[in-house]
Amino acid sequence: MTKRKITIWGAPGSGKTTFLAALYIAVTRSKLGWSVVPKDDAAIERFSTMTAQLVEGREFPEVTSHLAELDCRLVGPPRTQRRPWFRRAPVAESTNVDLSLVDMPGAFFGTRLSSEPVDLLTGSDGLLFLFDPIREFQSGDSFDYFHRVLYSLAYRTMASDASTRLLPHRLAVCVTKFDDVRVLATAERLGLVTTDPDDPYHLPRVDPQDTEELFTALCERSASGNGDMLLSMIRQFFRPERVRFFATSAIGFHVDPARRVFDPDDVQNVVPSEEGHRIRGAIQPINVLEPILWLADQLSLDG
Amino acid sequence: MSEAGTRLRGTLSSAVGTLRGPRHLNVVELGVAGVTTFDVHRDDSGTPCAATGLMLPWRELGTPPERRRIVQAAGGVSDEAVIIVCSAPGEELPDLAAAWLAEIRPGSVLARIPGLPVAALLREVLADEPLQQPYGLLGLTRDPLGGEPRPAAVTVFPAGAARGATTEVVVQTSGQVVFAVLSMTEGQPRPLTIRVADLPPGRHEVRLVLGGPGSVEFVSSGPFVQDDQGWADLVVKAWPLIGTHGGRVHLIVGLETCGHRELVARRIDLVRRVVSEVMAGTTECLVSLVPYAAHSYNWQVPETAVRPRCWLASPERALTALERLEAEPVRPDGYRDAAQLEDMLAEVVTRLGEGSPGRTVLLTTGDRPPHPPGRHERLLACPNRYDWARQIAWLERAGVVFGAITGRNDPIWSVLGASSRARTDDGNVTRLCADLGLATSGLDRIPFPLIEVAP
Repeated sequence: MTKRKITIWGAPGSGKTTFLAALYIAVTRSKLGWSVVPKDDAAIERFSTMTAQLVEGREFPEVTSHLAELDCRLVGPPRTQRRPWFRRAPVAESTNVDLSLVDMPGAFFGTRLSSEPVDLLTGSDGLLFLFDPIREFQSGDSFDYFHRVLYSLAYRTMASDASTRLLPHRLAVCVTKFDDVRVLATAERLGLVTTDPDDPYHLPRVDPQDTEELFTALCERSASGNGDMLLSMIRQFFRPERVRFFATSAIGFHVDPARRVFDPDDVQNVVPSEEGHRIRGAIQPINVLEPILWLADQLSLDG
Repeated sequence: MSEAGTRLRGTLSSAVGTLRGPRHLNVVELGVAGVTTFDVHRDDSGTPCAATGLMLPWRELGTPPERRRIVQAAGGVSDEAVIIVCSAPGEELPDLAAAWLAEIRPGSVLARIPGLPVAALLREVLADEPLQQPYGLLGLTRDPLGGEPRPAAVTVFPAGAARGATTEVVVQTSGQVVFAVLSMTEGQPRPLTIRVADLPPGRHEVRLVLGGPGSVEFVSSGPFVQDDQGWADLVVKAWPLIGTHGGRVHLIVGLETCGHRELVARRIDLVRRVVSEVMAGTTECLVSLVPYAAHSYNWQVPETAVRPRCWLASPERALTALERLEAEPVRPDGYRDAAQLEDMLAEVVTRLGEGSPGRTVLLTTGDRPPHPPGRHERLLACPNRYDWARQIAWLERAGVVFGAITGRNDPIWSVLGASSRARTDDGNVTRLCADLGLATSGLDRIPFPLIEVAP
């Protein structure tokens, strides 16, 4: 089995570590039949600690200060394999994808860009870019953490293959903090919000095919006015069929634990606390597993 | 006046008559010399008035005239009603401007009347407008049970009264007396006319003549002069203190009990001082104490409902309740950006719905804003979905007087401290008590006439 490397990339505070911490919960809550199995002691320890912090402590994991590589196996639901006519019955086999999820501090992608993150991104098969619209609204610096990395990646790619400026990677762009009232309100204003009929709480979602529109609208509210260039750069450097947008929330919306219903008037699952912020109720990740599955699926096609 | 002029007068009258709240009527005069606009609206007292914009000469509107500048000179494009009067029909520029304005505002009224003095016509229309609110005269009235005379507003002109209406009152005076007529606008009466008369001691007949909305003249044996001693400020301040249920006051204290221990202790101490001042004064007072804290939003910490510690209790019992409250541990800080203020208001509204003896004062002591009833960018919704704005509107309609002790300047504290506000870091509550009519009524500083016979 070929091991696929997916690197998570984004500005400081964009929620990279929280995204990874929520992955375990997303898999557990998902009805898609997948599971994540850590492949070494370090990965077990890291996944367990982060998950416990979220679920039991209702706290956000600490900001990553060093590079962490988590080796795990995504085990999918059994797929029925077609067999030659002389075999008596079809055989069900699990879909397994070995992944190495790389979490790096956001500062690695900043103004003093070293070769280490670029090496890692160049060597990755899939890239998961986390765009934090609230940070963009307040600081407007996503572009700073994006264009340096992208230019370095493009330079290396062109150095090995001068015939193309397009990167070979698959890119999942996750618009994070979808649970924030301002992000949800933008999606609602654009008429992009739907619900999954199988979701017992009917939590808001945005279909991946509509998320680019949400991303564009949120970029327009960038504090620096540079947000709109993010989309231009994505179009410049990635093949359109290799990019997909997801409206993501690592912790999801608040669901009243007593009434077990989602109330559109009371959506926030984060409350201010002495330490900063605290998670209010149960964690219902939205589009955390899906981008990983999409990347894994796309990479298996490449394979 | 020509037939067209009479028709225009009728149109202006009905347009002014339908003006309500923040709606404006834009009257545009297109004359030989240029464009003049009149912004007709109602002021806080409900009196219709017309602000006249400067006349803009045609030469300043472009050569040749520019459509955009003419539209701008005529008040721009808005949703407000527009009446266009071309007082120089046949002239090129007024005709052209009239056609442009009528095109851009298809719902507007266009009248072409040569030489019509629009400003004078508008003045007449406004003066002839019948009153939309009753007008009241402030004075002292005798207590039918034989107590001290108490301040009250006596209706002198009912809603619907028009220019030329007269009414008479008989007053008892001695020396300098303040005659104040108010527009009895719901919630917030506004002083319209304040006159000072130096009448000899004894009974006097005073005739009041309505000159139109906002204009009342007094006729009696002595002269009435303009107020030049600042009585208007005192009247405005004193108005909320005028009750209709005798001298008794119901003081409701909403007290925020979350936050830093020292701050909570400080708030309790200030409330204690207020209650002590009330006890030392002459006003009969009943006290209700409604503490509130932070909503939980934490499944491990149960929510505590807002309940009064005492309701319609004597000041002594209220002091005991405060003592008990002080001895309790400070409530968890909880959600730090807001507090159960809206729950406190809802509880007060529910209780007041069952009746309140006398004038009611709500003294809110705290810092945090209320939670919104629904989704909000910054604050979580109230778990009970109480709407603080609706509760406050109810209390305002019920004539409740608002006072506050706070260290914050958020807009909500301007509402909760509408009649008086003291700062938490300032230990002096004497002025607050006086403003709220808790210790002494500020009204006794105003020499109102004693009204013997009302209309």
